[in-house]
Amino acid sequence: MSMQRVGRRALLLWRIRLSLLALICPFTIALFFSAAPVWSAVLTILWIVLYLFFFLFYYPVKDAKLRYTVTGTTLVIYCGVFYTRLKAMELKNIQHVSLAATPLARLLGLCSVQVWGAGGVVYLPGLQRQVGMALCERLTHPEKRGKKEGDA
Amino acid sequence: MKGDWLHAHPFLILHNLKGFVYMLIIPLVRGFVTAFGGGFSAWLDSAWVDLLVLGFILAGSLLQWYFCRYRFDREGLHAVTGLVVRSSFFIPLSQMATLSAVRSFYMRPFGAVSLRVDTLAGSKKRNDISLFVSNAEAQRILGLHLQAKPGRPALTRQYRPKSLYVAALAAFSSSSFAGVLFLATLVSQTGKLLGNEFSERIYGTFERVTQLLAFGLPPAAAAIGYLMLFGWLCAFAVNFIRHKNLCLRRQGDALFISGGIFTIREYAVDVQKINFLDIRQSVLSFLLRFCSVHIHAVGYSKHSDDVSGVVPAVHKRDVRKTLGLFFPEFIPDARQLRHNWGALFKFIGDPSWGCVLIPAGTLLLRFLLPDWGDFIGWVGFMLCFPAYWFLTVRLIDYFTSGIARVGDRFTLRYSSGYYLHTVVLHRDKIAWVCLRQSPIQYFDKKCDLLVFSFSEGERRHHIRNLDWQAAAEMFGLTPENEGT
Repeated sequence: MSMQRVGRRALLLWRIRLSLLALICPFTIALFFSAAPVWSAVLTILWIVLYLFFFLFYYPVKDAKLRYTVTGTTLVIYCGVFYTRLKAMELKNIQHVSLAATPLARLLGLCSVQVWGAGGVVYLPGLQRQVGMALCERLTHPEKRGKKEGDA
Repeated sequence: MKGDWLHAHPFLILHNLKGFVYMLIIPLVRGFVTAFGGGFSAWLDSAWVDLLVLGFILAGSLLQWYFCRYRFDREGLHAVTGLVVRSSFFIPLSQMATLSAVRSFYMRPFGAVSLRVDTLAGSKKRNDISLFVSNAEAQRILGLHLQAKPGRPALTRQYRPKSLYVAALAAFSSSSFAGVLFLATLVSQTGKLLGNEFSERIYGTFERVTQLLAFGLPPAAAAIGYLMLFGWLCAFAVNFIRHKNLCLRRQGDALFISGGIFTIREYAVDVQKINFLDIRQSVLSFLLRFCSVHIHAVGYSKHSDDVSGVVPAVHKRDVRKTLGLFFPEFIPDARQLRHNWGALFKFIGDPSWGCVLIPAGTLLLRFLLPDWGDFIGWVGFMLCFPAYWFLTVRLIDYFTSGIARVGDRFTLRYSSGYYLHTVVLHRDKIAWVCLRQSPIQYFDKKCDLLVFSFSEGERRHHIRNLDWQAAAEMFGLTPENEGT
């Protein structure tokens, strides 16, 4: 089975979230550093640089690298920006799966899936809601999937 | 055959009393009020209030005990608890990973045992359930663990290590920090009970002894040194007492472990529920070619005062023989995959910081504060020890780390902190695997392997700088390019 990318709107979600967070910076600087022009300038440059870094590099790379697949027995997630990670959890070891979405993610029809194993949790963000729900169903009922495949 | 519902041991009544201790504030406040108000006669006139409170405390404890009932049979543990809010639960015997029976010295006169049950679910710090039972009942329940599966072979193997080996385990697993922490708690708690004067006297005596035994060292530096030494001795004594009389018994798929002098601890572990076996070595035991064997199962060695090892000390050449007798499922295999020789800095990078920065900082501080030169020099010298010790561990790790796979059995060799680990685990006990690649490793096609084994919390095994492709193949992972 081929590796699948997460939802197309994931990058948009991360960028909107970043922009909303970035809006706090000019207000904070204006509020606390209006009397210190040097500090104000330094902090403004700093947040703009960080904003551009995340907007133009970090999130696009994260989006490009984030892929997943469910093979016959294993959930495999390929992710990371600076450190590349290949995470694998056998389906039979999955204890439970949860699906979460912030209001912004719901607006864009996205969600995150958390897969809980007996010794850790694996996180898969930015999935389309239908895809996320199907993945949850698939991970929590591997026996059903096997039966259907067998029947087919 | 289903057993009858039983009450917990009456020791539970005493145990429950501590839940009502806060109610003693009523007679205490009344005593103060009457002492300033009406005197002894006034106190005596309303003594019925105190008696009522005491009666309430005793009745509450008694009723809690009365309404706590359990039934332990071949199906599992059924229990009903609660006085106001009744709750009942059932833990199947097949889901129990570890059953432990703890006989503290203060419980022994009452013939009571604290029975603890653990499953893969529940808190990683607390037992899933703990109840007080009699000695005979504890033995019956531990025996049930053995009878849980029919058709077990009757062959029993038993091992009682020599005291010297127990002392070796205590010596290798004792840390000065833990000892100092234990001492500080002991002195401060005793001070609370016997008055501050007592603890001040102890600290004063320590100060005088340190001054006498400074032997030319700055007194503050000598105090730190002696505190560390004394702390280590205390930790050693605590560990030795805990592991003395250690007995390991394997019968079929059941493993019985017991140990202790004052508090006797017994554990019944299902071998199928052992998550991994850990052969542990410190630098000293590596040089002496000895190691200790530990198991990781849910509920076993959960508390800091639990028995931790199963084989306290065994010579490297005898490891396979010993494991073959007790843990034939967990015999380590020779390395099949290891890091490249150029990965030296990956191993010594972290400890090198301490090895360079501590001497440099010491020299700088001596230059800046010449009046404190002797003290700074001594403290810097002492601080260098753990840094160079850590470097030594990583150097040994560089020559020994790697992984192997034979069938579904994995052997992971790596270091963590100041210990070298050889972990043997089965594929079905691996919760998940992560191949982590830094930007430098990306160009080298190498990665760090992180194996998360079954555990109530997160238990990570970190093997450094393996070949990405080979590691992925060993764990049967789809390579990144295959699916795209």
